[in-house]
Order: sequence, then structure tokens, then C-alpha cells
Amino acid sequence: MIKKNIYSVGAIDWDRKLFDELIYLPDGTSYNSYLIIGSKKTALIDTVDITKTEELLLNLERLNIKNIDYVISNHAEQDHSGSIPIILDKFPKAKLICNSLCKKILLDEMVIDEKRIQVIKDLDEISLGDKTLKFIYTPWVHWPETMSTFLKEDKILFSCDFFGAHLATSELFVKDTKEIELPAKRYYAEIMMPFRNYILKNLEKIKEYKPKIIAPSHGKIYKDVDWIINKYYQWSKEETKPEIIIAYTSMHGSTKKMVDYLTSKLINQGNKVKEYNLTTTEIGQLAIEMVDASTLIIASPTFLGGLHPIVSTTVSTLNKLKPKTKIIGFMGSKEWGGEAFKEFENITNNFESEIILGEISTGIPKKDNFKQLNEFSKIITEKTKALFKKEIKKKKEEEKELSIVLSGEAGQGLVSVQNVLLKILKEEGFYFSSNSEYMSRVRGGVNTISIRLTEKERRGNLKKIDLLLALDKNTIEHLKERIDENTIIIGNKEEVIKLGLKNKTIEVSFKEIAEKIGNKVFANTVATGTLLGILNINKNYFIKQLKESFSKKGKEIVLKNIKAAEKGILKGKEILKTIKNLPKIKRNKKIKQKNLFTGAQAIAYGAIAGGCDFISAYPMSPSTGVLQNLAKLRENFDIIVEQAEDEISAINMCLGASFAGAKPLTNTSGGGFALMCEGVSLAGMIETPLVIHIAQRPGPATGLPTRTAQEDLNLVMHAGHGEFARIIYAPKNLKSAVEITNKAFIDSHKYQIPVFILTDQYFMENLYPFEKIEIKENKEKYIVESKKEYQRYAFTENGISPRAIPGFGKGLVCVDSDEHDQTGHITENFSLRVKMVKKRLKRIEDITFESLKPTIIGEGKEIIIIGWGSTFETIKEAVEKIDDKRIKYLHYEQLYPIYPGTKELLKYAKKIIVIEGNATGQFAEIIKKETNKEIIKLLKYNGLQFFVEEIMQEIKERLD
Amino acid sequence: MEKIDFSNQTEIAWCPGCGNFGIHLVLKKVLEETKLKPKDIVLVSGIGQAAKTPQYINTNFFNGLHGRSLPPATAIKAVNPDLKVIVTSGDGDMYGEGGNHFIHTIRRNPDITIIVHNNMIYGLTKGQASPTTRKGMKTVVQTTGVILEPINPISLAISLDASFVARANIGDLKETKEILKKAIDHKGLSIVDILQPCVTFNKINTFEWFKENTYYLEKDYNPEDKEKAILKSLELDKMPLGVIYISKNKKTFEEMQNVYQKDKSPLYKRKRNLEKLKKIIKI
Repeated sequence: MIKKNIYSVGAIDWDRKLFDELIYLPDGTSYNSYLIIGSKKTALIDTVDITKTEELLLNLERLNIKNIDYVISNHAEQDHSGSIPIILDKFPKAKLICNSLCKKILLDEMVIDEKRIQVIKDLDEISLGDKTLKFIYTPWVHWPETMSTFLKEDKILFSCDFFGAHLATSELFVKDTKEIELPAKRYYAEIMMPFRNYILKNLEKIKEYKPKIIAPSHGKIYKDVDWIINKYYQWSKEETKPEIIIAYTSMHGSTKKMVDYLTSKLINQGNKVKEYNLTTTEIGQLAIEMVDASTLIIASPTFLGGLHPIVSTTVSTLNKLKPKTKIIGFMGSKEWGGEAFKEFENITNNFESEIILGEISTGIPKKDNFKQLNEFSKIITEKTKALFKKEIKKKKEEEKELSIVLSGEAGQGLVSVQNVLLKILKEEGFYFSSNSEYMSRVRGGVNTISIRLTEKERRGNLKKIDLLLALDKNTIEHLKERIDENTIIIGNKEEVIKLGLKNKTIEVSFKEIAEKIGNKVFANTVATGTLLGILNINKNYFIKQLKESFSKKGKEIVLKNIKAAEKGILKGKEILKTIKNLPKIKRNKKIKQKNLFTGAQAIAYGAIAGGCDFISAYPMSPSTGVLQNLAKLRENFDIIVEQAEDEISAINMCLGASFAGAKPLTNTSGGGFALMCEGVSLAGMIETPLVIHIAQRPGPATGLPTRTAQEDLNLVMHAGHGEFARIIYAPKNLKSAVEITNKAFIDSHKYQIPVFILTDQYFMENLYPFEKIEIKENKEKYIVESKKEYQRYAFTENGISPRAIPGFGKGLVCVDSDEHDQTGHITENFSLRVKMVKKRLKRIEDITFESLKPTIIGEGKEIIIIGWGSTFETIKEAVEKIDDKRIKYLHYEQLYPIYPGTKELLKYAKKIIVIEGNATGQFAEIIKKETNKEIIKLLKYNGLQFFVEEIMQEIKERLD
Repeated sequence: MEKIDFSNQTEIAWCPGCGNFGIHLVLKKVLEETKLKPKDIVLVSGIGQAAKTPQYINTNFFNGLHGRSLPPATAIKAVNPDLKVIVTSGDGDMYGEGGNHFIHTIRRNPDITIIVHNNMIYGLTKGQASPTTRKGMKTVVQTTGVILEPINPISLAISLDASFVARANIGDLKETKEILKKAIDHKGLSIVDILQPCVTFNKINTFEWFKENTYYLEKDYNPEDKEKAILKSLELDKMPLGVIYISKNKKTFEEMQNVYQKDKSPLYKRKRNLEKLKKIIKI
């Protein structure tokens, strides 16, 4: 008896050894059935397995039960429902109560008169007089229809299989939780574990009812309800414990030797390890381990080309249980070959863990194998420990940074201010990131330069302004959106008031000071000096810079500039006294040693590294910087630089140059590139290498010539009629731009294709000190010396023919924009045409195989942020500042062919957010094709780069 | 010395009687006489019947896009000045689609020869007017007669101070060969506008028509006199044949390139020195 009028009437099965023909029952089991006698009606909750019906009937007889009004089926599985037909027969007035899904399953399993069934819904109640039964849906513990019955007055939850344990026992209640823990855990592991997510939801649901007693359908009844509920929470939550389970089998001892070696290494490295020989291990034991363990290593010899059957059975079964193991390792041995690992990968598809391939020895393990195993053990330890690294949430030190903006009219010399200022800052050891925005005019309008000083080497595009120096009035309006109440404005008070801003203003007229020295043109020198004064930077380097820059203009000009600088610095020091709490940014001597040059220079240097010796281009914003930088270096590096009469000439010249053995680059923006499309098609047809740099700006047509965008991906993807191979890169930062441009030259020669590099206006102008560039000298020669009877388009296995150039060798080199035969002569033959098309397309396979993996930041799985090209540093900063473990950020630098592992990377994503600077989500659509999941698009297309702040806000809003 | 054969096996796609056959023959003969090896010659063309010429000659060739023969030809020569580069294309390709390149290539003055097969019609596309078609001629598109002023490529070239400008008539093989030889031997950009009939689509400008409407310049004609040359170029009723203009002492595009000031080797033979780059940026 549980309480007055509440009885346990089920059966104990001392003898049962196997459940579901699979699970071993070391302690037998019981089928619990409960009888509740109310003042008016009597209910029976669940019955027993058909093998034990007699016991149930006997128990009911002993209690003298003549009538049952309700038989409640919490769960349709036969060990509880098996006796329902007999009970219904013996108690003809009884109604069978169940939910609609349970009804369906019961009718499939056994013969029941449908008229006897009364269907209930979630949270329905029935009254037994002085007792009320409430039905609470708790699905998937462990079938879809499972539910619990709650006796409201006595607060008893009849949870059926939920919280059960296979235990044949004479005790009704749990007295010592130690006794029940292992059977309960085993039951959970073997039956409940795959449904963890549902369990968590169900726990929340039943907690609300604050049950005092939990009576499951197997094993003992709980009075310490908190204990079992907490256990279920612990087991179901994602967190694991640092335990490494190694399960193996070994036919001739090779695998065992390796396993023992690994175990000893892991123990040495401070891990908790358990070894299980699968031949003598019962799977239930392993399942129990899987409830908590963080790491599982499987070692298998190869058996008939695959895993040993014991291993595959064990792993497949564990796979069905969907354990929460975070790390899986695989190792083993083989004799003559096999695909054990592939099979292993296939049968672990439910594990949401990283699979690390360890060592596979051939035969008995040798020194090399042990060496690899040692490395493997270190990786396992490292990764396991990383899961549990205590987040020392040290009090988040405020990152010290200062965001400065200088604004002025075009023609006021802001560019030279920027140049000098950044040189000084670098020399003085300040880390900065700078970009400029300007209008499409030579005089007037508003230009601004942003300079961020940070201690953490931040490079993102920041919206907020701490200090604004307005060289000209009327420029403050342009920045209104970025000014907040803390912005200190140095400029014209009138304008600030006119705009309704309440900011602290410091009135300085740079122009007046300059005019007093002799000419308002010195205003920018005064402004630079002022800023240096505020930052407390020594004037010596500045003066040295002025002497260098103006030496050609004569002594007087130099002196006047120095005077302007000194006046500015004085003003700056005055101003500094009036500003409270200006962050003092720490300097770092190492910054002096770093690289500093713009995106345009980066592309130029990358081209030089790649061997570029010919550039033909037409000037077009914002790409022209690359042409001009290569022109500056033409004598230094022997480069032919030709400004073409139009873009069509530019690309055709480059193809002629490439044909004759040069390494050309052409350079343009969207509108100019549109004219090059036929040339791109020609490059594909004659299989001649070419590198094309496109600096994007907003379109269509002339658009916004001096602003930034990421709108031309689709154009570059499909430009050029006909079908042929190409590669599209979009470097993520300055260091990468040099490296990728170098790579573009190598790729274009290796595959004999056009290779595109996409940047944009923001990228071209962005400046920050950065680390050493990694470039290795390319020793490959991609040009052959032709023999007599040379065929330029000879058929080869991978479609790429050895490339000769005219004049080098005994053969003739012929290329034709018409469809052609192997010698390059025109053909209209249909079957040759098909061969040539296939030849040109075949190389896409090899190219795709080599496709660059995106940069990955963060370990999350659910929320994936995706970006491409120049937004990298800004999105990275936003993601780092949000600091949410659920997020992983993927940044793509190769847009086509896209990394083929993309689908895999997005496998577990619940939310995918693609961030790009266009209105239609061009890259988002490409990602959609790869993964078929829904994509959230974060788009900006006003002509400006994303701000760190707006990305943070948009992502945070979508986090839950 | 062994005679080099500039013929090849490719089947020729021109109509029987086409003026291109003559140009083909003359060009091969002139190439033989240069004593250059086929591997050191690059023929460049665009698209058209004339532009098929390189396919039928045993040299390297770059048969590019319609109208776009001059940019690659210029670049090929610039990148490897040891190659002999000859452009051979039609009047539509050179003066229409490629008109802009024609103008600017003259400004560049690369040491290449441009042979324009001027049949005053579009042959490959079957009979539309070309930039040199005379006013009034009816065609499949200019159904009521051409109304546009034809281009005068000779005046155009002379006004841009092209290095060598000549006109020939393929009806006279011997004279054409002599003009072509002079053009190919000339240092600098040499333009030869060769009048030829299109037997299929141009029933007006036939061999006879050309014979009647041209004459050879006098033996003592001085091509270096620019004013005289311009006047000659304006004679359109009876067009003068021969070398009409030579601009002496012009530097070629390749000569003026910084890359050849100290080193005369073609670009493909040079190596990029990464050490030099390491002095500028940190690698």
C-alpha cells in the first residue's frame, strides 16, 4: 500500500534477463500497476506484461476489487499494456482511458473494442469522487504517446517509464538512493538518453505540479522526488564530465597494444580513463558510461574491410542512444587494407561530436605508430581539458580605446593629415585602425578620416566618436548619426548649437590660426598638431615629417608649417587640460615594426610577389590605387604599366601579354568590369591565365563612385558568356590580401583560368598596422618549352594542357576564340566540341578540392554567422564582444568554387545569419544552395561599411 | 638555305575567287623572304573572313575577339619584342568594332604590321555595310542605300602621324608584295590597307572596279611629306596606291618601355626577385 486507498498491484519479474531482446537485466524487473480507490470510482493505472497477468489479477482479488471504472494507459508498450484486454474483459464496466496517439498504437497492437476507449487530452482531468486524476503529456519518455497521471489530492505522479528502473525488489519505496542510482542510470542510458531535449521540457512541466511522490512503472517509488528529478536534469543537460572511455576489441593483440599505450599516456596526462574490452563488456555498462563521459575512443581492428562486428554493433547501438559525448576518437589496426574509418564515420552520425582520427597501424604497432599515438593522446587531452576550462570571468576590464574623427572639405588636405598622423602614431607605438570616406568631388563636400586608437588591436569599423575635430563648419551635420552625448567636438560652436546637439564643444578655428601664420592652407597642419597635443605626443617626429614633406617647397614653407604645427600642439595641450577622463592609451613598441599600407598597396605588393610583370587597366574609382602603386614600382620590379584606352582594350592586352609569357593583372570596378565580359569569356576559351582585381562600389551604372558595397558577386560569378572554370577570392584583411593576390597568380597559371580578386572601397582605404606576411617563393614553372608538332590544347587527364608560349621552343602556339581542335585551329565538329567543353570544365573538380576553408571563430553549433570579404574585422570584433558560446563565425575568402565542406559546417545550425553589403543577399543565396536551410540576411547598402555596434545589435536581437 | 614552308594543311573556307587568296599567297611569300622562322612569328587577327588568314599559315597565331586584334598584338610585341607580330583582319573588324583600338594603337606605335583586308563589306556575316562602304550602296541592312560617310583610314592614320601608311590592290600581286615587304621591314607601326573584292557579297567593288578607281603613286613620290600625303589620302575618286606616308624616327612602344632600358630580354625569361620586395614590406 502506498497510502490509504492507493495500492501497488503490479508484478515482479525476478527471472527476466533480457529486455527488447537486447538489454541485459542484471537485476530483473517489475511491471508496476497502481490501483486508486476513490469515494465514487476506482481507477487502475497501467497493467502488466502478458506473462504476469495472473499476478495482477491475484493482487486485485486479494484486495477484493469487484469493480474498476477506469483503466488508464499511460504508455502503449506491451510490458504495461499487455494485460489490458483481459482486464477489460474481467471488468466489463471499465473504460480504457488514453490519449489519441496511444489509442492508435493500442488498436494496432491488440484487439480492443473501440467503444470501450475514452480519449483524453493534455491536462484533462477525471474525478474518482474524493480523488482527481490529471493527465499530463510527457511525450518521448520513451515513445511518442507517453504521458503521466497526476493524483492531485495526494500529489502522486504516476510517471510510467519516466524515472523507471529495471529492478526486481520487495521494497516498495526507495530508502537509500545509493541502491537505486545504478539501475536508474542504466535505465536512463538504455532507454531515455536519445530523448534528452524532450526530457528537459517534461521536467519543467512536471516540476510545476510539485509532486511529493513519483511512482514509475518499473522499480521503486520515490519519496525523495528532488533526488531523481535532479539526476534526470544532470544526465539530460549538455554538460559532460571529464571522463575518457576507451572501448576496443583486438583479434591478434595489435589493437590492444595500441590501446594500452594510449591509456597509459592519457593517465599520465592527468585524465580519468576507463578501458572496456568489448568482447567481455555488456553494452548496458557502456551506455551508462555514455551518460556522463565527455570523450569516447573506439579502437578496432579491420575485419573483412571494415570494423570488427562487435565494434560496429556496439557503436551502432550507442549511436541510436544519441549520447552527448563531445569528443570521439578512432584508432585501430589493419592487415591488408580496409575502410574501417569510413564505416565508423557513417555509424556515428548521431553523435554531435568532433571525430578525431588517431593512428591506424598496419599489423603490429611500431615506433612510428606509437609516436603518432602519443600525439593523438595529447590532442585528446587538450580537447577534453578545453571543454572544462574554468571560465575565469575576471571582471571585464574596460577596453581602453579612443575613437577620433577629423572632418573637413575636400581640398583641405585631410589626406595628407592622415598620412602624417598615422606615420607618427605608428612610430610612437600606438595601435590604430583608420579609414576614410569622401565624396565624389575635388573641392567642397565633406570628407572624413576615422582613427581608432585601441590597446587590444581592434580593427572593426566603429560608429561612435569620442573626439571630433571639424576643420570646417558644416561638416558636423554629416556625422550627426555617429555623435552621441559623450562626443567631444572641437570645432564651430554655432553649428553644434544649430544642429541641436548638447555636446561639449571646444571652439577652435584652425583656419584663423593658419591665416595668422600666413595662409589658411596650413589649417590641416594646425589640426594635426592639435590632435598630437591632445594625445600628448612629442613634436619631434612631426617636425621631422614636415621637413621631409615640404622640403621641395622651400625653406619658408617648411618654417611656416613648423610654426603651424607648434601652434596646433600648444592648442592641443590647452584643450587636454579641459577634457576630463580622456582614456590614456597604452603604447606598444612592437607596433613600430609592423607593416603599414593600404588595401590598394596590398593588392599591388601581392601581385609583385606573384610575379606580375604587366598591368593594363583603365582608371576607375576605387580601384585606381592599385594601378598607381604598380606604376610607382615599375622600374624597381620591371613591370610594363599601360593605361588602356578602354576596359575592353585592357583585358585583351592582358590576354595577349599572357599568351606571350607575361604575368598580367587587370584592375577595375563594377562598371569597367562589365565591359570586360567578352574578354573574360576569351580567357576561358583560350585557357590563358589572367588575374583580375575588382574593387566594388555601389551601382548600378555609375552609382556612388566613392562609396563601398559588395554588390558585384553575382556579376563576377557569371561574367563571360559560355561555360568555363574560374576562381573568385575576396580577401578578409590586409595581410590576407597580399597572400591571396600572390596565390591568385599561382592559381591562374596552374589551372590556366581567369582568377578574380574582389575588394571594395572600404578595403582599398583601410589602414592598420599588421603582422608579417606569409609568402613562400613559388618554384613551379608553368610554361613548357615546345617541341615540334606541339599541340596547345592536347587532351590530358585533368583537362589542363602543358602551356607553351610563342618563340620558346621548336613548336607553334596557336590560340583561337572560335571552338578549336587540339592544335588551336578552328573546328565545327560536334564531337570535338563536346570534348573541348568537357576539357575546359574538368579542372573545376581539382579547383574545388583545393577550395579554401573559411576562417572559423568560436565553437558554437547552433548560431552560425557568415561573412565574406572586407567585413571580416568588423564582424569579428562584434562577435568577440557579444561573447556567446552558441555562436560560430565563418568568414569566406574563396567565394567560388565554395568550400565543399560548407554543408557539413552548417549541419547542426539552428540559425544561419549571413552579413553582406548588398540588397539581395547574393552570398546568402549561395549558402542557401549549399545547405537548404533557412537563412537570415543582415544587409547594408547605403554605401557605407557596417558598424561594429549595429552588427552587435542585430545579432543580439536574433539570439533567442 | 632551306626554304621554309609557310603553308599548312588546314582546309581553306573562302569562296573561290575571293581576294583573300591573293593576300594569303603574298603574305606567305613575304614571310619566306624575311628568313624568319615560323616559331618567331605571331599572326594576330579578330573575327571575319579575313581574320581566318592566320589559320592557313604555318606560324604561331592569336585569333581573338571581333575587333580586338590590336590590343593583344600590341601586348604580345611589348612583352616579347623578339617576336615578329603581324595583324591581319578585315575592314569591319579594324575600323568598326575595333575603331577605338585602331586610333590608340597608332598613338602607341608598336613595331607591328597591320594588314587590313578591305573589301568594303561584311563578308562573314553575309553582306552588311562596313565602315568603308561607299554612300548609296544598297545592302541587306542598308536597304535604301548607305547614308553614312565612309571612314577614310588613310587620312585618319596620317592625321595621327602613323609611322607607315600604304594602300594596295590585291588585283596586282607583284606590286602588293613589294608594298607588304616594305611594311613588314619597317620599324614602327605599318598599316597596309589592301583593297580586295568580295565576290559573293559586293557586286560593285570588283577587281575591275578597283583597277579603274586606283592608280600607282609616281616613282619620285616622297612619302615623308605629310601635307602631300594628307592631300593624297583625300583622293577618293581615283585612290592612290603605294606607300603614302612614312613618319621617320618615331620611337616604338616597346623601345620606350622602362623594362627594356637596361635589359633587352623578353619578360618570360626574367625572374622576380622576392628579396627586393622584402626590403619594402615585412615578409
